[in-house]
Amino acid sequence: MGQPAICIDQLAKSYRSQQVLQNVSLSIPEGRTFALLGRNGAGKTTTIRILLGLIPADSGTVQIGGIDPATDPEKVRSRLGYLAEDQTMYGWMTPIELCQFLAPFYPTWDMQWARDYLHRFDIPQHTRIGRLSKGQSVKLGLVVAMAHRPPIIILDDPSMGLDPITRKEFNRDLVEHLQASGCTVLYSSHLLDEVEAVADDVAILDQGRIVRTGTTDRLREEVKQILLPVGSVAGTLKPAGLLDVRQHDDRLAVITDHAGSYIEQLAARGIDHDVVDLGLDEIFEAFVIGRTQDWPDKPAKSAAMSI
Amino acid sequence: MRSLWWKQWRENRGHLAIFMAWMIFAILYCIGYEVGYRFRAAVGSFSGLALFYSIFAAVFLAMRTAQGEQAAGTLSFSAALPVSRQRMAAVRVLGAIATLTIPILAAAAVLALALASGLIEQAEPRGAPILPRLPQRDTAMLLTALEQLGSVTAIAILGGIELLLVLCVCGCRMRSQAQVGFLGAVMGLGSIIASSVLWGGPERQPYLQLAYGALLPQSLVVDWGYGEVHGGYTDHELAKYRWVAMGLAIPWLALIGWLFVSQYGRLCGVSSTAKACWFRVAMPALWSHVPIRLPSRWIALVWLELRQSLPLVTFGFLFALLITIASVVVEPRSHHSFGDAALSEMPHTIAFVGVLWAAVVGSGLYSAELGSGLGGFWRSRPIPAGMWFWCKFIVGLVAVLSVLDGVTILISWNAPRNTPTTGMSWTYVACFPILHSHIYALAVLGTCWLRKPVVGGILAILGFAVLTIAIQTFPLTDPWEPLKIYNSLLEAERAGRVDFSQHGYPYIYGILAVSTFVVALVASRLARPLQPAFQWLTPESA
Amino acid sequence: MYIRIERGAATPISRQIEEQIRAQCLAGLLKPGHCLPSVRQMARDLVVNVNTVVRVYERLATEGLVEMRHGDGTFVLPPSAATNLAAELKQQREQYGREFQAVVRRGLLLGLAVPELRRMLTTTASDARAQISKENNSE
Repeated sequence: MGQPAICIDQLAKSYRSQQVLQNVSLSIPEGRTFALLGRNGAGKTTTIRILLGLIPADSGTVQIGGIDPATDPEKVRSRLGYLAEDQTMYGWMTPIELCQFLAPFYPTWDMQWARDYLHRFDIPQHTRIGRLSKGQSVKLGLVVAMAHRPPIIILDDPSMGLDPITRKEFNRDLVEHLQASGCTVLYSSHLLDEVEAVADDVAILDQGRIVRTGTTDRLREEVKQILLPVGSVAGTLKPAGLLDVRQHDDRLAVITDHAGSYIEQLAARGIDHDVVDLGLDEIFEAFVIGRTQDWPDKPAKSAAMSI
Repeated sequence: MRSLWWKQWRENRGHLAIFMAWMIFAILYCIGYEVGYRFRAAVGSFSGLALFYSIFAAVFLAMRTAQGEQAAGTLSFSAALPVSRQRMAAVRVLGAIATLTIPILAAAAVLALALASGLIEQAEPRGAPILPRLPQRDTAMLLTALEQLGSVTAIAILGGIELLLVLCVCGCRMRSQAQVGFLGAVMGLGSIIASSVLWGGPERQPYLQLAYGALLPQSLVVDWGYGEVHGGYTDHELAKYRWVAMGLAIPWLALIGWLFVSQYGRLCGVSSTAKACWFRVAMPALWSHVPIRLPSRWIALVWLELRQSLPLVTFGFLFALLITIASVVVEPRSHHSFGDAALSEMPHTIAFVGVLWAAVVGSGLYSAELGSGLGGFWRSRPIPAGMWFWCKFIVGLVAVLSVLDGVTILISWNAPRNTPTTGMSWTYVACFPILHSHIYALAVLGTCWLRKPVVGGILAILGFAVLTIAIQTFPLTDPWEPLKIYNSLLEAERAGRVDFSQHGYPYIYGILAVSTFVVALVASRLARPLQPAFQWLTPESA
Repeated sequence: MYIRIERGAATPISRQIEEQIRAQCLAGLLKPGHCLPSVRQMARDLVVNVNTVVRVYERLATEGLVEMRHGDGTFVLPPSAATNLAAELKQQREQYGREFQAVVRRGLLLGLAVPELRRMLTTTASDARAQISKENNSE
């Protein structure tokens, strides 16, 4: 296992007195598909732009394939494939002209591959880019990002604005061509269902901070919702990884991280509980807008604890 | 209804303030110059200033009125409001007209006050035969002077309103503010040239002027600039039946206004996502079928810039050609063939159009690729920013100089050189390419700094104009004005002496050439980062 | 081979695929010797991560339902003792579920409330678990 493909350490960036990124650290091993989840304005695009060397970070280090984009941005970009959110390309050029234009900038550009994939993705070679449909233009962006066979590909919300069918096709292309060839893929999105199916690892970015990272299936095992009677846990047994607590009549719905150990604790005390599996969207909500203040206090008279 | 007016006021008050400041400053400069030099030609210089302002303000306000909502994305919002689109359009256009008119009226009032209080005087109006010249003419009575002032004011206002309304009507069908601005610059230039065409020869045809003036109010006045030993003055000439023409113009303007009001927002269903210029995207891509291989990075960038700049520059050349042909057709040329007359007229037109077009090309080439859309695209590829900037700058400059100046020099070299303003000369070859390069560099600087094409280009031209005016103001620096040097050298050449060490040519034009390079260096630094040093009103999304 | 996954469901996607393949094997829809689609092919068709499919195949292989032959593909194994045992267990569990349902019904009909039943279950479960571990330790 060599060094990670992408390594971000304590990245911080502020923007006109607003702290956009704080203490962001990520490490993406080679060959993995990593999804960066976050609400609009959480800092996903800023992180990606810093990775490309498009904007400078205030502090922290970034290494892509061992190279720092702030010091040697061109080398980083020649080894990286990038597809921006709502990517603008030269509207007057045709796809084949765009490929011909970009070819000399990449030593590893494979023109035959590009032509082959333009054909496979059903992109008309001699129609101006300004007249392509949105789906075709996103696929063209993908071709142009991959034609120089980079080891690392960064996609910034690539499915934005695509209709569901085109989105599924795009995801299929991602799985078929990128994952299968062992590329490292970093991808930012807020379409959680698709991310869950396609990504290996996720990181949740909220208001400039990473609140959780982990593999997709382990995340579902570690974050669960537990239903408990209020009386049995009032004032005590607040779980260490509490994310959200809501009271429904006489039961408490608790969403917590590291659910395994909390369930053991409950079982040891013999407290009655139901465990509910959550979908990734519910997990995401819990991390981002979960309310943890309403943990019930111990009632005034000491009631007998139900065993 | 009142809230519509309130909204319009809020939108326009910034512009109104700037325009007021501009005109007041201009008129005070005018009066001050008059008090200093005592040429008794204040009304003439006011006429020139007011006309220039009205064209500029008309283009600017038309951009906002026709496309402002589309640019701000609020068109579908306001279309859904329970107010008829016609009413909204009417309020918008009336607001624009008021913003255009009020500064001119204010400046005219100040000048009227200066005349009435006896601070300055005005010479008798210029009669049909051009002699006697202004300094020999008597001083006019106050009432006459005020009438002249009134005519000039009304003409400037009506001319501005006409350009504003015509642009608004055309602007409804366009896709972006920048396109409206572009069209406006072209039409403004065209209207200046069209109105000056009528005043060519020594005879005046009052009825033709009346008819022409009703359609194009700006043609009712013409300004003749004269340079004296110290300073210069502007003698204005008015058409005989100007008030009748203006009276006839008003229903015509009302018609155009009604046309706009009924058309506005009609085409908002058209998709506004097309980012490229519509005609370029609509044309079939023929070059794409030619298989080319771009062996190196520099060649790839040169190819990119040639593809972007050549069409733009060629369009300018064709525009100038059109103007030349139009001016030759309208004026009676007795002793030369049509071709010869056109070729000898070209240098004059290209010199003038080239100033505008160099700014257009400079700002147009850079503006798209500096935005966050295309800017993000090329910057995320391994294309070094320095290579991108300099390749673009040099290729664009070479395109401008070779297509505009170069082709003109080649084709007009052997055309007859009769008057000071016709025919090619060595002086032209020595002066105008440098001037055009300088304006090009200034437009590039403006665009790289402000990251907005129209403002950048306008700033370049304005900056150059202000500098020229500043140089001309003081008798000490007056002979250093570049166009003055050009005129002197041309006179000498026509008389047979070609000597470029005279009149300070090496110093002034040398400074211009060097400063072109310096301006480009500054621009290259400003163009480097993806986001500009200060944000121009747009919030950045994370 | 027909597999349908439901995105956003409570069951993780890998488990959905695994269960469907297992059910088809046990039901006999996938005959022994049948070659399952390649990992890439399956990932492409279902639009899921390649590694997820790999994990599913690996899990099925350790269970003894399929065999991963390097280079050739993944093949369905004939039902062996292990798989038979799994099927047997499944049947028994279903039986148990039916019995359990009957007991609960009876409790409800006797007027016991649901929380009461739950408490009984928790108590009985912990007691029984303690007893079983004691029995295991003493063996």
